[in-house]
Amino acid sequence: MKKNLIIIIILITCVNILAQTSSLEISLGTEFLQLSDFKDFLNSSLLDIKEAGIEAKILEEFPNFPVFSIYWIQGIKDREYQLITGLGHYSTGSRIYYEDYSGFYRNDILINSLSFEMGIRLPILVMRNFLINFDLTAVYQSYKTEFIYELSTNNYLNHYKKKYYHNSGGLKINFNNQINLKEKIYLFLSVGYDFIYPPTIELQDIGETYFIDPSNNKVDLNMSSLDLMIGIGINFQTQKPESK
Amino acid sequence: MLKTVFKTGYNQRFATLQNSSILIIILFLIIGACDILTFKPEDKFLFDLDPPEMGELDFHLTNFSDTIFVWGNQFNLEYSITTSDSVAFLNFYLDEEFNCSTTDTTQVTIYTQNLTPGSYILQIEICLKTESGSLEDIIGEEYFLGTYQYPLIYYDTVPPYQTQIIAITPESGSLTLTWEKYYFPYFEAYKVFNTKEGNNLIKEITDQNTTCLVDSFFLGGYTQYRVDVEAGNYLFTGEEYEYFDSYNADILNLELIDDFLVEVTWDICPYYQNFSSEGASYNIHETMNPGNNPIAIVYNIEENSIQDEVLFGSNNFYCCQVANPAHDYYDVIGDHAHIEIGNSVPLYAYYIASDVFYIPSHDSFYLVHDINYVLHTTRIDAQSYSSQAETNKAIFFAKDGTSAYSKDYFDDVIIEHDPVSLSTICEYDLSSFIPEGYESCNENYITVLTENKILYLIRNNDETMYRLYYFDLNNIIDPDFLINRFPLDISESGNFILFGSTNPTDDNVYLYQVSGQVLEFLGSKTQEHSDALFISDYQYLIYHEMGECWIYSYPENDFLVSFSLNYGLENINIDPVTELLGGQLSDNNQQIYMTFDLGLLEVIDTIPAITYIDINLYNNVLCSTAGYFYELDNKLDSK
Repeated sequence: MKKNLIIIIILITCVNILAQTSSLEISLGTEFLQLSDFKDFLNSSLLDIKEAGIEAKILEEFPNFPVFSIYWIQGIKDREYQLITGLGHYSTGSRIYYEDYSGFYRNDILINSLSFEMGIRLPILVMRNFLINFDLTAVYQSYKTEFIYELSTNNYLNHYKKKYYHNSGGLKINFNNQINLKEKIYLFLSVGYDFIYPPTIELQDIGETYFIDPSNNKVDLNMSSLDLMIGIGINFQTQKPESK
Repeated sequence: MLKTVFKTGYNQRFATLQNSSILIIILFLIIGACDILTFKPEDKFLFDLDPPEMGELDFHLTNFSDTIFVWGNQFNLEYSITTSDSVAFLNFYLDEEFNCSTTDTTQVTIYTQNLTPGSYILQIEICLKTESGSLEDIIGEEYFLGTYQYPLIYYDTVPPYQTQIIAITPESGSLTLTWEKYYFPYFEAYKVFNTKEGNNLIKEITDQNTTCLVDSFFLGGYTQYRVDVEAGNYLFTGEEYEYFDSYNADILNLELIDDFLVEVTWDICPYYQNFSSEGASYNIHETMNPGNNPIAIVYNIEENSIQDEVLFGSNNFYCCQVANPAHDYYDVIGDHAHIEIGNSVPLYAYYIASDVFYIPSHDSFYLVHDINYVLHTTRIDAQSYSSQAETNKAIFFAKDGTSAYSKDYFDDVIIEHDPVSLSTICEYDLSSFIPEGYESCNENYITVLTENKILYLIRNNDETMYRLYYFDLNNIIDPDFLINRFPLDISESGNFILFGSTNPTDDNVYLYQVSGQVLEFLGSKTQEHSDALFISDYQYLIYHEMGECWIYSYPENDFLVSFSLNYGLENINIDPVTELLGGQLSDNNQQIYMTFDLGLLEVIDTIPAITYIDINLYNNVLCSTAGYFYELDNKLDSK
């Protein structure tokens, strides 16, 4: 993760040197993730637990947790398009839980994703205080999937925690609507969709063994999602206009 | 392009670069804030479940009492657990040191190889499943705990043990034995014996908790039991226990139904279960003590009377035996009962053949089974037998002389003979052989000795003299062959008559006794028989009894009789006998009739232990009084 951050920072710095204008967009929103395999896996896990006699419940089933992202948009001289560089973070998870007087049982899955985007932004509609852009970016995502199992009673304790790291990539299309508030500040609302190639969770510690569901199918981490974001943008004049 | 950029606008852009650096710092701060936006599930689900309460628990040892006595390297501990909960497992500790664990709710093997002789505390932890459905219960970690402690004494040698029978009780038609439970280890079996006659194993019980036995063989009376224990290659012999039962198979009543019928009633056996299951029977004996041939065998336990036909003797003795055919040591023999018959009823029976009699009042024939010992008879209805022309071993006449019957000695039945084949016999006029002054005694004095030989007895008019004729029926048409072989005069009733054949092929002698109105056949003897020895062609020692001896000789012959008294290893020869005994020697040409007075015993009076008396003829032993010594002894007492 640290290595990825360093690469990203270097790229931002270099592009920034070339840029004529820059703007920073900070957005908060939500993603409608598919995660279909994981949801199936969660339900089948609950059935297994109930068969063992534990009347557990699914308390969390991969909810749409807030997405946080930052975009750095740079305009190049004599070019209509702008360069987009962005970072995003997304987190979700699940929980199966049971507790009585004798102890508790929990089965958590936590998914953390850090994405890096680079692409171009084309203006589609330009009005005085209103602007609609079309973004096309390449997306690189790094995932951390964490499985936590814990059974704790008065006379018994079993705690299991395992993390898996995976990388994947894809394309993202996005429509960005801007409304200028002041000279350098604008609000924007964007709607987009991430096409992410779903990685299969490989159990690295056991070699080429994959995480499978009770039906003996490989469990894919399908992170393709519909994004809905709202944010604020700040324009920076990085290059003084030439004097006539 | 980069080169151009750096040359032309580096200074101008430096301020912008500073702004960008600020933004990057902001970026780092934002990334740090991502932790805040990381998904962290916090919800909890508390299932409403109350902690369970322990139910009842009862635990006790089944193969030990409260104190455990053991020896050897290990022992088997058996126990029973009564609880409303399920038993998960049990832990066993010896002096707080873990020994073993088991899930078996009935027994466990405790290892004692490291123990030294002495006292220990055996602690037992019983873990019961709560079955509450809680998380801890599901993973098998939630238990109710019950703890029990027992003193344990470890021996280095086998401790002494003797099984005690606690009680023997008659219940529900059987007999129930109860004994002390064996509480030592290594139990293999209880062995229950009936020791009334030796060690008769009733049952071997391998269940240590079974300390009672229903003796399905017992029928009453006295018996004796013992319970041994087999354990760890040892046999502990139990204590003998006697049992007396009030039931003793007594004869309750003897009642004379008619002249020759006695009803015998006995006590019913109370052990009806054993009686029916073991195939037992009431065996009624017409004697003081049971022999091999009961007169009746009754298999129905509720039947307690029979009717017995009696013929001979004035006194009849009966006894009841409850017999177990498979286990005769359980037989119960009751005291005998006595009834007088002959004194009140005049006995009038016709002697028909060697062991067949006719009773006019019954109009029946009776077959005597054993004339020498048992006077038991079988009633034979002559009319019920069909006519069969068979050649059997013997033929006899009915009282009127018109019917003839054959007897098969092998099958022991009497069959009415074909009258046609015997018509010549019946038509023959025997009276032609009666000399003047004599008359036929009675038609029943005609007897058939074999299939074709007849004995005919006549007597004189004043009934003081008898004469016997012999006929060979094969030559009946030749009057000359009707040999008056022994025109024997019998001077008094009670004398014996010896009949010998002139036929060389017939070497038998036949002995009869005139007793009242009956000519009684005592038996036929060959010369090899010791009781009636064939001396020569015409000399016979015929009978001896109670110190009396009759010797018949034909033709006249001289012989000398002597006696030997045997006591211990010594023999005393008394010779000649006539001088010492004052015997009566007849001068009849046909016989020498001697009666030896028991004065002989006066001579040997001082000899303490007479074993037998030999009667010698020409220094050859003719017979011995060994078989009659008892009677001799009685005579001696009476003297």
